[in-house]
Amino acid sequence: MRTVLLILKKDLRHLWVLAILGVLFSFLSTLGWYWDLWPRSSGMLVFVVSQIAPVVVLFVLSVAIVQSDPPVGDRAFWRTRPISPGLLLSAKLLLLFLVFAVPSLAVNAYLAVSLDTPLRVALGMVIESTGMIAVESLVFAMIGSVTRSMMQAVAATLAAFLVVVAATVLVPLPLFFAPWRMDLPDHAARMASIGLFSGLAAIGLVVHQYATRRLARTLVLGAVLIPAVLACASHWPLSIPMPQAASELQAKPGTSDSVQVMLIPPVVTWSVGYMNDPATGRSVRSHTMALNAALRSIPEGRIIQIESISSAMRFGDAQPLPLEQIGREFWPYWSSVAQATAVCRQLGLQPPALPADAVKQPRLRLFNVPDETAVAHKGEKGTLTATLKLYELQFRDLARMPALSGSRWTHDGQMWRIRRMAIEQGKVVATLQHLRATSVLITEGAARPDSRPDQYRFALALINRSRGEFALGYHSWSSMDAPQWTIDINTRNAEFTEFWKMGGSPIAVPTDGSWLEGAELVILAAEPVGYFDKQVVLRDFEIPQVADRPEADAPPYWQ
Amino acid sequence: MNAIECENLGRSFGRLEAVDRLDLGVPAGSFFALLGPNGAGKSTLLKLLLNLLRPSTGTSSVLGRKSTSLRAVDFQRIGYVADGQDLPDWMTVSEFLGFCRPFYPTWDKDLAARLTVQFDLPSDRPLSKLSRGMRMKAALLSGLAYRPELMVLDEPFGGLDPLVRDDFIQGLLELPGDDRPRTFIVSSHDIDEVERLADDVGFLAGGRLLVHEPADALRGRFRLVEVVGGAPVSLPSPLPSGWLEAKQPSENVVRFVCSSFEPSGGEVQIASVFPGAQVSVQAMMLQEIFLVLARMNRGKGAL
Repeated sequence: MRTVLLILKKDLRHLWVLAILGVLFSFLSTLGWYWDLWPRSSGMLVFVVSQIAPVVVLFVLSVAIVQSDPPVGDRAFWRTRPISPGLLLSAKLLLLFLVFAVPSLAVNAYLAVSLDTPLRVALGMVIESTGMIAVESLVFAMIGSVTRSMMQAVAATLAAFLVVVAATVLVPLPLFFAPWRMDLPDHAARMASIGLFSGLAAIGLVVHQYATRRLARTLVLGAVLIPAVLACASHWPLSIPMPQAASELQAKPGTSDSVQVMLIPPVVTWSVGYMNDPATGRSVRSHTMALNAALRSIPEGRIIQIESISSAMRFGDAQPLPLEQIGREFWPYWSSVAQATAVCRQLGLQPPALPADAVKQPRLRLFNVPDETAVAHKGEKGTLTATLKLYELQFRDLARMPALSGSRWTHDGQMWRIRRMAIEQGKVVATLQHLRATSVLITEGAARPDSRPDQYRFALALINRSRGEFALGYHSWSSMDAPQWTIDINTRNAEFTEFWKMGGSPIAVPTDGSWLEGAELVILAAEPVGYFDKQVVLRDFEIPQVADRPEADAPPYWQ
Repeated sequence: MNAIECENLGRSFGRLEAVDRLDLGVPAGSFFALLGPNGAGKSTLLKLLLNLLRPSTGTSSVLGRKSTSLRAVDFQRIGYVADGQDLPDWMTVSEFLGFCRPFYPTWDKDLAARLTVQFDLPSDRPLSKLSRGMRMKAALLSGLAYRPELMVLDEPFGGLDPLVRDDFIQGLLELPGDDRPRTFIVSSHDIDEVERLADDVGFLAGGRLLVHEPADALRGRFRLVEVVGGAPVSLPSPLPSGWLEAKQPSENVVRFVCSSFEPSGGEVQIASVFPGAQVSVQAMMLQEIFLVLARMNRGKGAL
């Protein structure tokens, strides 16, 4: 232990400037956003300071710590001194832990406490961020351990990057080479597995290099080990034993029976698009036909959304032929009228009379059939089955705070703070900041990191109870401020342009700030309250052929 | 007992045999000079001994432990100073010594202080700001202060100016018996410098150990012989064993190197080959001996 401390002390004395920078950037890159330190006008500078610089410092310091007593070459000072490779490596790892993992742990613990984060989410944040930085620093340390100088380490990193880019371009790589993809069903497990296995591979290589000092063998081992562990982690994602929140889903709502799925004209839509060719893994241009439908008989004030659609054709006794599902971003979303009605119902207000939405909703397309598939089954009649998994969303009170600049609300891993609230040009404008603790290890609830828009839809209301008046807000635009792993920060700008009496009659927009002083801002969050299935079955259905399409160049289906 | 043992030790880099199946034993308590031209394999041999490189063939041991099994604790008994060795250059001399001290239970603070004065080292100057000679002295000091049983110096005089070199050697020579490591191994291509230090020498060329014997014995058996006759003289054919580099600059003069000269009667023995001629025999410096050996070695084995 004494040897470890002596080496650690020596390295700290040598690299103290970088170590301080490492700690500083660990704090700033996350807390800078939380403390709102970054000037909004200096986007590139902020990006460099908060995103690039921490990675550069992490790289330089990890490599420098290892290379101050390098395990390559025959000139290293420690090789002829009473310093064992194991103790030397322990000292290096301990320093990396102190400089990177400890600040990350402290920052995330501080954030978790500040955002009143539930213990399981806080645990996820700490494990994810500390684990992530530990894996990164281990990978950089591994690069440092097989190179002799910082220049070599930079060159090796660039070369590795180029190899990955070239491989990605030249070879249709399986999904494990894209761990940043969030749209996979087991994304969190995949990320955690890749992180864990990469860390193990990196530390295995570093230990091997320190123990044997045989560079060529370490490189060969790395060439075998790194793709192997990535493939293993991708194909067999670990199940994450994180405690999950109690399910928020309730019993199926009574509305499910009344909701109907109806085919709507034009039943068939043709389009030209790009489909994934399973044979090559590449996108190919293809004609596709889609079957159009709509949800009908939704009770007033209810919001029904689609979770998934699985469709298949069965020809005789053959195996069902699965049909490709359209991405959820092209499904219809609820109207502003439906939202206003749902919000008022939740707040106990009389919904005002609102005009129907002018924005045309996209059609509900059940599935796509590529032209090649259609041709293959030309003239065959079969049974089409489309199963829609639907859920009902409800707006619930999330936050209430005085409608004044500087107000904030914190609960359950989330914070809302009002940066600005003012009456300007005949409307009330608000700039709000929403901070959310999140972790890939959390797969349910508000801390889930993915960005499904309907799961994080918020509604805003201003209520002045003393005056018996209210307004509903509309987002004008929003932006993601902090592209961080464990804290999601969004700025949301909202406008309140129409005001009503609580009975529902419209009033003029207030012009005096005293209206806001007596008002509260209510933020409501859309949450799923129950799931149910609906099925569409078409017997003796024949897939239309591209030759039957009415127009040569029909517009894309999203128009 | 030998401090160093090598058996069939070899190391190749691709096709180059840097050390070629070498057998060597260095007795404990000796000052062994490993000599040879640049690229002879001296540094490689020392690195093999200290497990800085792995052997391609054979084995070696240092202070009774197999080189490939040397542990950290074994380096409390071994000192190593090499030209080009990485040092923590950002440290001052005193910081460097302070860093080294805790690793050695036998570290002698007084000896370190004495050597600092003797080597005229500026304690507060970073190693990176020291001249090459001063840096070597600092490294040597850090290797002597814990009184190792074995001190290995790899090309310690390389690039040093004569004054610093002399200073360095003087420093080693002036070490009192208690302060000196028991066994020294010094590699150098600069033979003059180690001549006054070594009591045992080895000559390495092309990875092969051509000679290994006490320096005095080596100097004793090599002589430069000149034969001048009143009438023409001629070299016997074939040359007697041990006669090297025989030349006949004129018909009355013959010169050669005798590598098997017997101090008692050697001159008479040579004179008997050249009746009536005047034979003069001249002792040789190690430098001259090794030049002869190096020239003779081209394509030949050990002498």
